Amino acid sequence: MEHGAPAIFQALEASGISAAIRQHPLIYPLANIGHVLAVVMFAGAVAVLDVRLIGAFPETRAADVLRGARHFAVAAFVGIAITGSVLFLAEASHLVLNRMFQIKMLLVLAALANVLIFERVFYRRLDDLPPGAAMPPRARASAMISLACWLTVAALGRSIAYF
Amino acid sequence: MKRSVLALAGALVVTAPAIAHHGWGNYETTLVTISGAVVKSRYENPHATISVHTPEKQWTVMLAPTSRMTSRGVSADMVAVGRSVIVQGYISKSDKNEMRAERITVNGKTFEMR
Repeated sequence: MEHGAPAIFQALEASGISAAIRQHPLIYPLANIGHVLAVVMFAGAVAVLDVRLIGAFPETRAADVLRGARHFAVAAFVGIAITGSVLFLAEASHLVLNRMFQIKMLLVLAALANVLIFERVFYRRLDDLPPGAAMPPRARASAMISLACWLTVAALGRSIAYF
Repeated sequence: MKRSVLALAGALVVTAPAIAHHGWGNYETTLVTISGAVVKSRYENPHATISVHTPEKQWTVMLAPTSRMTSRGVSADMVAVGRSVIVQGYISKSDKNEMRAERITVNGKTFEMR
């Protein structure tokens, strides 16, 4: 227990559910493996989505590719969030003070904000794009920000153990 | 985009030394051996932890996840409070009272943790 952590996180770590996660032989390892697999799926969906926005597969109708990839990405993200919550609960007071974890969470928020802004402002306009049309510059920019953010998030996640 | 990625990488490199705490890379490279009684024992994930009382000080010893503890042959009972253990490992750079175990000896048998 990190007694320097904010009280709420110490309380989470002191909870019965947190103790159960730590003491069960399988829950933590499975959550860890599940987190990695969900990240792999998410990365695949995000890669398809973002490279389409940047202009790959130009012969496809952009809206169709994006819709499918988006559904997959959302489902994978739910898996990431659930498994990540299990991992977080096990040592909440330590993780909240870990710099890699802190930067990672901030970047996740930034990446999600990027998605929201893109969806609200630009997504509708892509519906009309026929196959072969050039992608709008803002769509390309949003996709590049997305790729940079999510790749960094993945690296930071793996780095938590080293700091 | 290239500039923002570089800036991010730069920020991480700069903050890294200041906050290295209990991380896996933050241990000294000289192997030390301690011997004493277990006064606290948490056989749980992400990794088991015991406190070992020696004449010199009370050590916090990082062991392995419980699945590895079991597969290597170390049960919770073997590192329970009151047991006598010998631990060989590396001392933390940021906490001189903490070490991560390479191996642990209980009742004359040695078990690899890594």
